[in-house]
Amino acid sequence: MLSIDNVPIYGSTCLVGKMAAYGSGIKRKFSVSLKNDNTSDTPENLNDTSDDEHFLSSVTNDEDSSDADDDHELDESDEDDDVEGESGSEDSGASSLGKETTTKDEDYESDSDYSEYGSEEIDQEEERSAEGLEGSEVSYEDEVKESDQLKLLFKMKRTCSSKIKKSNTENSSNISQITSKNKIFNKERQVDENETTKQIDDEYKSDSSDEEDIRSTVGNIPMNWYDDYTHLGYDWDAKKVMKPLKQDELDSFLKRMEDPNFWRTVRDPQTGQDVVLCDADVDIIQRLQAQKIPDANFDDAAPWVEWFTSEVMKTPIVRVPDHKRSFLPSRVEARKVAKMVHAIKMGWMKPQEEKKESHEPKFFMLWQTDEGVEHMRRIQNHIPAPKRHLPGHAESYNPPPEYLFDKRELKEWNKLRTAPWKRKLHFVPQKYNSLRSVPAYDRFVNERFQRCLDLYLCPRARKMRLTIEPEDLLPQLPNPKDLQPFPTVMSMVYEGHTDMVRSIAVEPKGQYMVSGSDDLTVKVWEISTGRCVRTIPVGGIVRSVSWCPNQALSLIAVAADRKVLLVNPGVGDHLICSKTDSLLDEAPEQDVVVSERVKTAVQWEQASEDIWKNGIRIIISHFKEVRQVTWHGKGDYFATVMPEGQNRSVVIHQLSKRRSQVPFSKSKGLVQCVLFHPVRPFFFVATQKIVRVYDLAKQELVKKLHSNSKWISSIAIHPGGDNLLVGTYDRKMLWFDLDLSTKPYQTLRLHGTAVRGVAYHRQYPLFASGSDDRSLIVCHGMVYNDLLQNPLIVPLKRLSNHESYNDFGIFDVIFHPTQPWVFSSGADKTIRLYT
Amino acid sequence: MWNNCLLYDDWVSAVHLKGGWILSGCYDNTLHLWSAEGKHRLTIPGHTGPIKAVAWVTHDDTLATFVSVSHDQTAMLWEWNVSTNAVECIHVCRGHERGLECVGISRSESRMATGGFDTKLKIWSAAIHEASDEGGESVPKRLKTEHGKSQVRTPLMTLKGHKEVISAVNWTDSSEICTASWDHTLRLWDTEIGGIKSEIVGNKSFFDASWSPLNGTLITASADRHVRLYDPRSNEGSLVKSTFTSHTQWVQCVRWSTTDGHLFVSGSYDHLIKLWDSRSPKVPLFDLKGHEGKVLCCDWSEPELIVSGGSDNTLRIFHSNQRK
Repeated sequence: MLSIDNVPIYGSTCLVGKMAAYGSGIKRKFSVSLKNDNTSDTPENLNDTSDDEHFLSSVTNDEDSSDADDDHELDESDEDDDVEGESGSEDSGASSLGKETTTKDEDYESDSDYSEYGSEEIDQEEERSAEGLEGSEVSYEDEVKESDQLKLLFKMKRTCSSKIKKSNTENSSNISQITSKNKIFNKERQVDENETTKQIDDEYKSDSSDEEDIRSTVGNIPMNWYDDYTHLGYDWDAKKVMKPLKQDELDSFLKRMEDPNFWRTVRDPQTGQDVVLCDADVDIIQRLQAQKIPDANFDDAAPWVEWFTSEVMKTPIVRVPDHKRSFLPSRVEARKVAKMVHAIKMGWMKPQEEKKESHEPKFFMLWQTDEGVEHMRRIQNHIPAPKRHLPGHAESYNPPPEYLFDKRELKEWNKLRTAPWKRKLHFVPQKYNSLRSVPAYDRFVNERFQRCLDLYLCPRARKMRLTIEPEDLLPQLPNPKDLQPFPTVMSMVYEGHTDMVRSIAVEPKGQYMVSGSDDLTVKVWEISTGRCVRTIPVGGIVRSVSWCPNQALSLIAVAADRKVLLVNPGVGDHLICSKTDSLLDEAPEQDVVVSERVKTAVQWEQASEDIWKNGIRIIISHFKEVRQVTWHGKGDYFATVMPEGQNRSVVIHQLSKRRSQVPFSKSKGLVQCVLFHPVRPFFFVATQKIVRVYDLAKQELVKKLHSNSKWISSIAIHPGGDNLLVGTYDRKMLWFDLDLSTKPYQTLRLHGTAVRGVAYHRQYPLFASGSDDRSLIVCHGMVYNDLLQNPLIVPLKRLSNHESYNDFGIFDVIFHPTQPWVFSSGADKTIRLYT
Repeated sequence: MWNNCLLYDDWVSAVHLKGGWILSGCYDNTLHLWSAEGKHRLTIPGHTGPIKAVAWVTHDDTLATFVSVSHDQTAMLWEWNVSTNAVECIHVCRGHERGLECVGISRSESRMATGGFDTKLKIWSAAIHEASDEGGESVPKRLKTEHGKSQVRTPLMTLKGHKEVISAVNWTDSSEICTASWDHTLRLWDTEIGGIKSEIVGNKSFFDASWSPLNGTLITASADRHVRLYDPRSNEGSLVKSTFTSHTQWVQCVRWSTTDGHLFVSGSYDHLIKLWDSRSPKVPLFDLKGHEGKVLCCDWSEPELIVSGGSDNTLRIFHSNQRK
């Protein structure tokens, strides 16, 4: 202890402190060495040199004088602090190895926790034991409890890395020192105190650094792992340490009754042996329970030695730089960080996702391949220079013999003299015995030149080529299967006419159909059976028939040559038929003077008796051939078209007043067909190229629809009234959206020849067209109420059942009013129904 | 199976067989009575429009009554004295506003239901001799006196609901009628409350339907080449229990066998009558050939005879060797 009060010692303690931070093994050795120093000194010395007292203070336990050494007993209040090992108490003698660390340097104490190295765990142990035992009154009478507590304590001691170690000095009693020497601890317990002092005189005889129990080599593991085994571990000879036999209740009871040491008997969980604690152990435990410093000799009232001044000095003793915590981030950085945080919050920036580590092995290319595109940082779309081929075996000065040309190959090579680019090799492989004999390369200049050409002629830019598939240009149309129902098969053929059937019309109820033919008759058919119900000879080629849309009338308008006949077919409700007859029986009074212009064009005439019975009620004679007759939706007005009638080609008749008007005074061209608007007072007049829309109420031209075609054949209007379908003789079908424009919204070129008839369905979104190419084409034409959505047109089905006759195919097309059925009349004298 | 051919002057549009007598209706507005052996018994004029459906009401050895419906908007109840071979129109049922299409006799033979192009289903009394004040809709005086000897009868009940032609009427119960219509629906009517019980919506117009009391299912002919089997009792799963596809044209008539719950016949515009087993939807059991025109009507009320009429102006009798 001579040198302790000197500076070198201080240095060494410092060193200890630092070392302790690195490794407990080193720490322990230091502690041992220091202790060794201590032990070499006499305890008297220790005690005398009271200055050194707490510097050296080891938790000593003077067993003999444990009762007597009152000086060493601590105050309860002090002890609390000490046990906690708080830095505030300089006098941390309680921490077992604190002796080395009591440097009293405030900085060191606070900055690093090395003051607690090694002792930390025993502190915990003490705490725990204190916690566990504080509440209960410790009484030795209560032996069972006590022994349990002892067991607990023992266990904790074992699990803690620090161990109580006893060392003996010559004079004094055992000094139990916490040095994690369980082995010694155990041994010592079994022998007499004096004996132990001799036995463990030199603690280096046993390997103090090894914490392993010599009996069991399982190490510091939870012993409950061995619960299911009969053994507890393995000894040094790799033999099983068997569990002791379990005592039954009776045995333990007898033992408790008989054994005076039962209360201090503890089972070592690692060996399973019962161990009787010696007095020293018991004393330590008692001190711990009382929350005193285990070392009875420790004097906590020793005078304070101020090794370092507690005052803050102007210059620091150590040149340790400021701790990182003392740094404040710079404002610039803080602003940058704030910006990034904002960007992340707004979603502009994404925080780097943690890369998932794939467990698959990663491979990296060491070298880039020849084919791979070179990636250059600033040059976008860089085109690398063409690379030269790597030399092969053939280019070797000493190629394998199979690379050398034989005669045939040489001949071939020579033959391609005029077309050297066709050669497989641009040289003849040569063989030399040694590199020395290789002559100068005669093609060097040539090759350099070729290389320059390669580089010079290499493409400088990438040309982006746009490839558009023809399918991409087509609109996306729904599958026709999804647009059911629509006519798909021919279901019925109405046979009976003997010449071309030019026109058909369906009764508004949908039970009957009327057809007009070139055989000078009109036939009425029952739709469902194909039965011709009635045949009415009309005495002229029937060019148009039209069923009166007024369901209170049973009337058909028939255009036969120059006459328009109003025919009562006599089918349907008898009451309506008879009422129609009575209505048409007598002509109403004509109170208006008919102008000469009209009178010369049109004459109304009551049917005579002989044709009355055929159903013909009224004959309206026109001055030219009537091409078309069409009803207004209310069924009172109907219009007739005479294409050759010049400025009187369109006549509007009124049934109730038996009156005719010629609405147009000027001829606008060859009128093809006319049509009434289904809801509004509009009148469509189609000349060869233009469809004119007139407002009948205001008597003015509303719109002119330009068809962009040469000759309009027929028109049909959508039941909604906003869409018009126009068929033309030049094979087109035009869909006009009247709200959209005066140009066709869609032009359907589906037919191969002239389109002769077009029709809309009244309820279903269907329209159809018949053409001279014998085919009837059914299309889906959905009109939306939404003005923003254009009509959807999907061609659905081509039905080619009619036969061609004199290059004529289908003349007229009409839909059933309620069913998704379509009729077509053709030049082959038949009418066909498709469902 | 062999067949017999009875010649007519016009299309045979309706046929019904009972007790060995074949009652048939023709497009020339006449009714014809034949024995099952093919002997012509009577030609009955009376209607002014094509007959669309006929049905025996009662039948015994001496007296028989039957009904015929026509496009002249009337149904006529006739009484036929078998022994004297005299027929008399007892009642003229007036009330439909357009041509009639179908007639159905209730099981109790006291009621009949008719449907037609005026989309209304009318229920009449089918009894020949009954108190005239049985009730029903009031008879206009004009109609009462019009038809000479025969009395005018008015419907007991008019059921509205269909939107298009009622093409078939079947009594499924004493108070339940099943109708098929062109408006793609099959409807079950309750005559006691006078309303629709339930409705089955198909996707094609129905041309005919036949209900079998043996299995309670409904076989339908639509405006396509398929015959479909519906079960009006089930209300879950697909409505169409099976589809019988072999015809190549519209199927115009279907009839269940009255003795076998699995067999039915269908007549089509492809000139064929097919005999089906409801358990084999792909292939019919027999093709009954013979017609040279569209088959318009067929009947299988007697188990050993299948009769059919067509647009080739013939009525054909097919003898089946089916056991009773």
